[in-house]
Amino acid sequence: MKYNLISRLSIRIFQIKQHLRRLKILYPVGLCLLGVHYPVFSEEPIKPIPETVEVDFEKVELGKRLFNDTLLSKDNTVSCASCHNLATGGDDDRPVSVGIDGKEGPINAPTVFNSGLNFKQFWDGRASTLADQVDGPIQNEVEMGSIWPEIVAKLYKNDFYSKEFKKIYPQEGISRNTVRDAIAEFEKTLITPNSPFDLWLRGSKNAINTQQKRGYELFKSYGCTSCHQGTNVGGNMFQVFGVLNSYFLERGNITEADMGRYNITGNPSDKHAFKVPSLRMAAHTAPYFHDGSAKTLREAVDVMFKFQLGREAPDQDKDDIVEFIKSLAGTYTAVTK
Amino acid sequence: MNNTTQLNKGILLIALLFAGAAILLFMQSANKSAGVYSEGASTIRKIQTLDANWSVEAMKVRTNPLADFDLLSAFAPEVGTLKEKLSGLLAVEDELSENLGDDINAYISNLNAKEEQLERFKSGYAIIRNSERYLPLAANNIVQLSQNAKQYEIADEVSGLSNEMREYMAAPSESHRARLRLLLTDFSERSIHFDSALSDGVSNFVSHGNVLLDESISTEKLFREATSDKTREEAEILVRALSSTGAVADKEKQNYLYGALGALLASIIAGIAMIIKRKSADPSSDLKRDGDFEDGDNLFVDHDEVGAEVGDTIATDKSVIENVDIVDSVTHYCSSTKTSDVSNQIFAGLISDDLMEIVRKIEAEKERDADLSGYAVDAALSDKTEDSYQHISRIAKKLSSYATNAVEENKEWVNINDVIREVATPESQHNGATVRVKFGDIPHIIASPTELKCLFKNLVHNAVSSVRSDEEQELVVEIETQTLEGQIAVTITDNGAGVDSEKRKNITKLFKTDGNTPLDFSLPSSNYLAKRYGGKLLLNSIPNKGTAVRVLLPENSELAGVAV
Repeated sequence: MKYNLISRLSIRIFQIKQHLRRLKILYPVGLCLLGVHYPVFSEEPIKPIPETVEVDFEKVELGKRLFNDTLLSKDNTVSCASCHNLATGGDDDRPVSVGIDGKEGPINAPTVFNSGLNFKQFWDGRASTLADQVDGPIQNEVEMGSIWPEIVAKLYKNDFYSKEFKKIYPQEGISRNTVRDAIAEFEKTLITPNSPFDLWLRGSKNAINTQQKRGYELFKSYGCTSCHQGTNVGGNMFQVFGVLNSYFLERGNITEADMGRYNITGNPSDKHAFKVPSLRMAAHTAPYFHDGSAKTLREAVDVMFKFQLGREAPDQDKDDIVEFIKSLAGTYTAVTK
Repeated sequence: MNNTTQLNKGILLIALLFAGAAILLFMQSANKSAGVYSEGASTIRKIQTLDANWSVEAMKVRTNPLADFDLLSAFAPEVGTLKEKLSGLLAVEDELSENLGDDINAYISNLNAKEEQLERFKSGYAIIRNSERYLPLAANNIVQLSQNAKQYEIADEVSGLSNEMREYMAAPSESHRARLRLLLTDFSERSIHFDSALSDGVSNFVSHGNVLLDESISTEKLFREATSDKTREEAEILVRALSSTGAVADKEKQNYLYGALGALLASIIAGIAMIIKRKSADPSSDLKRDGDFEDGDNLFVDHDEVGAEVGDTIATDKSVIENVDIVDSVTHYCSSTKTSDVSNQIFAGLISDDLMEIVRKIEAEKERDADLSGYAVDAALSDKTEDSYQHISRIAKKLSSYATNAVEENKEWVNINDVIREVATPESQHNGATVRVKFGDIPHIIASPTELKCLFKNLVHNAVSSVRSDEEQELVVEIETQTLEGQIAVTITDNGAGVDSEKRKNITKLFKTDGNTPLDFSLPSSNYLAKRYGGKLLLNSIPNKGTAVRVLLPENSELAGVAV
């Protein structure tokens, strides 16, 4: 209860601060009055998510529409939002995603939130940019099963898209490139700033509770920050799943998706290597890991301790870490002009 | 083909060659873009700077166990964008030397390798910094557990191993790794006899120790390779090479441009030379074709209307007799030159025309004589004159009748351009002259094609038969048809020796000669034919420059072909 109250208050303070920033009125004075001071996070391995991102608002609106439009799938039944539901943490809460004709995909859908902060896209990092990433699910026969010429033709027949693309992309109109660009522009806005932890990093001492603070210290001391660090608390490197103990040997039934980055590079050292997932929205994106095998955050922490850290930890420590992880989730605010 | 023609064609060829060379050189200069090289060098410089910062960031990360990898990861896309730009420049510049192209490709390849090395370094280093951080804690845990169990030798051993691991991590080596591997394996094997807590502790310690042994050397190697100066040195060499190549390309571009300008200049000079040469051979240069015949133009102010004075000087009895005598020679001329019947008819018309003028003058004389009836006259002479008059009058009428009837019968729609083409073609082979024809858009007229052929053949033949003013000079005859103020104008110019004004007066008159040149009926007969069609013939000539003759015929076919 206390946590919730403090957390909500902190968020409110920062919302007011943002408002002041937007208004550019008495910003420094306002910050002083609110007791906000910068920076206190420069030495921490985790950095706060920026509060704003520079985008083209018209493209964002168009990309948002495309993101939610089932027109992009072969049978007009699946949209990007089908697997990346913004209301449920930016994923679909399933171990693996379901595409057209009810087909199940081979891998767990990662959250789309903060994906623009990742250094690569997909679990195996096969796309370097958000725009490149768009090609993947749209053309995957299990996911959306579409092909670009069909999509472009369908969009041309739609009055809204025909008009909007002509307005926003007067030179190119509707094309693979412009559809990708618009969706990527929208996805850039899917950030979740002002999480309690970020507020704490920025100096709001009571933005997170004691357990979360302790959890953060444990998170660092147990070496979790070796991989989960940076703004996105992950998403900036590849790591083998099962560094100190073999996860796949224990789990069994190894699939092609389990080979991870090896599928892209063919390098044996990349076997079972995946992009380290962001923990930013982990509180809302169960089940976890590429195979969706961990149903809860606590289970995921257990797996990490066993296979990545190669050590045991008291339950309390793990619980504290789970609480800390929950404090990483911020709020998404739809970008408008 | 004479020497002058060959010379002109040679000059033309040279001018065209130079013009072609100028175009080729200019295109070459356009291909030589130093901008591509400088842009390439600039791009590599930017990559070089990023590359250096990338290495610095890697070093920072390596020295700070809590450092995040955001910045280290952010370099790759930035460098990637520049690499794409560099590749794009390579694709554009096909003149790039093979070696330089290979070097740039190798550089890009090494940057890719660096990115991969740093990615692998991040993964390896994350593991290392985790285990390196944990290993002392694991050792302490074992020490505590072993001390609690009074197994001090285990505590000593693990402390020793922990220290040795620290030493190894400070300076990893293969031999040290092999030794530590053996020690850890031995320690692990012996730990199965320890109590479970201690055994688990040792297991953790050994696991992390082995991770460090597995990862440290390879990760260190990745780090050294990724942060080495290799790519930056390559960049330095490439920048120098590109700058140097750019300078050469710049110079080459300049040279090509100079070459193009030179060739263009040479082409222009050759063109001017050709124009000057043609001008000296071209009658149109001095004998202005259109303007020459305009009233008030100084160059043609004294032009002659051929035949305007015909008969003026022969309106005496004596002259009449002489002329009558000559009728035979005219007839002879026609037959001897084997001209066609039409030609004969033309001559008949020409002579009858002249004779009828004489008849009219004699009639006027007779009227005057009648007024002087009170005066004594030589009766014998008077009878002879009357006989001559009657004789001339009969011949004139017969000739006129012969000529007029023939012409009326042969009229049809005629395109004068076709006539000129037919006439000029055989004449172009004559006297080594070059005949150029410029056809204008002129209307058809109703006329006798044969008459028109005779009209223009005479004039063209005269032109191509012109005496050259200079032995070396190319004789050029130009024929142009056009419409001028409602009339069809056919202008024939030559660059022959021309005639002076005195001679010009004579050649325009029937049966007149300067005493040196034989009688020539061509100009009077052409004039006669022109008049027959309601037109006229104009003449201009400048000594040593040439002669221009223009035939003007009414454009309106209804008016054409009026009988003389």
